[in-house]
Amino acid sequence: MKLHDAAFYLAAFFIIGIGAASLNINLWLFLISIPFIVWYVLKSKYTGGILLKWACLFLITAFIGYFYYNFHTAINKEYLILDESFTFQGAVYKEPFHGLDSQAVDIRLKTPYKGNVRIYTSLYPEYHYGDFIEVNGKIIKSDSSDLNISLSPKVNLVSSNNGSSAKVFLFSFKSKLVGNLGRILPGEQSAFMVGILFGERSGFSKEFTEALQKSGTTHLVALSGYNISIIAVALATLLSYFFKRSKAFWLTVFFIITFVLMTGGEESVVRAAIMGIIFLISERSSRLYSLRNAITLTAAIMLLFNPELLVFSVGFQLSFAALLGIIYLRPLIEKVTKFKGGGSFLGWRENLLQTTSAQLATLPILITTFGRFSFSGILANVLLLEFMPLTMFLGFMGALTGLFSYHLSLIIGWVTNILLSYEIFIINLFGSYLT
Amino acid sequence: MKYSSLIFSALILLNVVLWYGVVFGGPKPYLQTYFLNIGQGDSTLTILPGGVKLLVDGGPDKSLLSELDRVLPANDRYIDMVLLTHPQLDHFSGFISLLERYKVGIFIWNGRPGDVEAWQDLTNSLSEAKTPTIILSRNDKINYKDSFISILSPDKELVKSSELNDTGIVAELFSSGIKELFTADIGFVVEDILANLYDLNADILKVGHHGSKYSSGVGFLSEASPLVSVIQVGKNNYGHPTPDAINRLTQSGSSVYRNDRDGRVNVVALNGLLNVFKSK
Repeated sequence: MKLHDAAFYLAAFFIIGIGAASLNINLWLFLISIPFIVWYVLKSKYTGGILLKWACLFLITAFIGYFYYNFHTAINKEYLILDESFTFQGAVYKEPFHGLDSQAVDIRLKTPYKGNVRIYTSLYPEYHYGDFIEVNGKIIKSDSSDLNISLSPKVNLVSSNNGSSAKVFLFSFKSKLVGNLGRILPGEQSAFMVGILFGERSGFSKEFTEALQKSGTTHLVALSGYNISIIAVALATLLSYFFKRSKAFWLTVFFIITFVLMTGGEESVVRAAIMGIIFLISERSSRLYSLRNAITLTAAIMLLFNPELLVFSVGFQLSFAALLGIIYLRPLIEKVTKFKGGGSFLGWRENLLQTTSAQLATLPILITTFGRFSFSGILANVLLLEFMPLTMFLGFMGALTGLFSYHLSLIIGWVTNILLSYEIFIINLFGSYLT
Repeated sequence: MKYSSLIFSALILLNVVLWYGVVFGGPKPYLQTYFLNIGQGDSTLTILPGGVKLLVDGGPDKSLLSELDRVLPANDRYIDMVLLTHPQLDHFSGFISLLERYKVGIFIWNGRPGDVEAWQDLTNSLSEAKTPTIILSRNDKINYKDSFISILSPDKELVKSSELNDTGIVAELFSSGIKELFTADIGFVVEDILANLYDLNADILKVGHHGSKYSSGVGFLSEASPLVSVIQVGKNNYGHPTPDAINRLTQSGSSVYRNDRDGRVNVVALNGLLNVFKSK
């Protein structure tokens, strides 16, 4: 068996193990396969096939996945009091979202309690990464996600600057970039730009968030793998002009990781970054970039960090479904409809194929969890996708230039504003008027 | 060059936008006052003839920014004067985010520091943005061309008052033959002091304390007799605006507008006439 096949099967069986554990499928069911293995072992005396050893290894991997899930949930089991007022302390472990009229502060509880809680409190005083706070209030389960939340409790700052200085630097750099965007773009546009670049949606109005959902364009502000691979390739090409190939590679990887940390390590960003890095590795080692392997490995690595994602995170499922759709459904659609991508006005054929396959693949999840699906969204995406890389590029340049010259960044801002206004117009058109 | 035609058309469009601004974007020759719809709190943007902007109070949150986006041109990021009447959250919170996005010429306040935690955020933002600040009190005046702003309250004693609402800066604005009165959150006590000291006769009144029961007294209103009064109010648990205050205002013969029902209220003084525009 070739190495890349082996890697694929190992990762796949690991994922299967985790899936079984999270769905509470009994471990013993796996043992049914033991006779087959024994049979294989016996048979191997005659064939001596290496396949058998692999089969055993895969089964063991599935078991490891199974145990890993249980082990992970056991050591991370949260301990806190629900629906009752009490005082607890915790550390702010990522930069809070500063919304329009409130801020969402994520804290990791201090002993005797354990777990994470998102606290919604008034806009000011602003809390930051590295703060240690004392909270008096009720913790409840969120309606919309599996988060523990606390709504407008009493909050006191105990101490600040407890975080890692690298993270503090990255977060302040990011907030500088965000601030620059705010200075060169109108409010709505700058909020959308921040969403596209950093995947942060706290600046969105309720209406706009709804319009994004209804027009099927939320993925634009979710930092898809598509966005990050654009950044990765652009960076790698740029750096290869200045450095040797291997150095350029490591620098790119370094910048991608920095970027992920800067955005606060949102799940979709991590997924995209891992994909981007695997893409770069495979390019470097001049092996064919196997999407199948990249996807399974990404999933396995992400599950290593948090095995609960597989079954309990809709975001995780949606992003992988979309990816699988683009890779496996798209060729099928092309074959059946004889509709070809490739050069066309603003690449609409390419984008139509891309969107249709992604939407089709996510359809079952969307309908079962949200009970809605937008067909007009396919059209909205075709009208938008081609402009996204350019918008990202201009916005990023605008934010960076703002560090040196406000007036220069203002000019870039005007151009970006035209693109952003068009995109927001399309989103509102399909999200509010045509649904 | 995939994007060359796109970039070309973008540049053309940019030219059109710029020249449009150059030709039509000059300051308006009349007085405009926007009572911004920022929820429960105060925020009023006045644009004097000649283009100087005065922003009185900033409202409770970032809705100030989205309101300013709708009122000011996209490339205008300068506010000449920002005035904080008194250090309460529903009057100053919006300034913190304002300072991140706009350049402010001068920050005017009453000299009474706030006792809420967020006050520190504001002073940090002010020093970070290197905004000049100045404390104004009774009988101080600001002149610009033919417009005058005079401060009626507080004096040295009132600013120390244990009732924070009594420390609020009350300002009177004359421009284009129109007189406007900004009354912060003052109640009967300060109203009566002012009614005794000044000729309050006004055309436009920013109603005191979001239409509270204990503001806009009969004596004060008969002195001021505004043509147009605007209550800055949003969703709240205080019962603002109270029917008492609204009745007194209507009985004084004033037309009453309120942000919670009328949205953003824009009063334009043109040729001695007041034109009121509502966004809702």
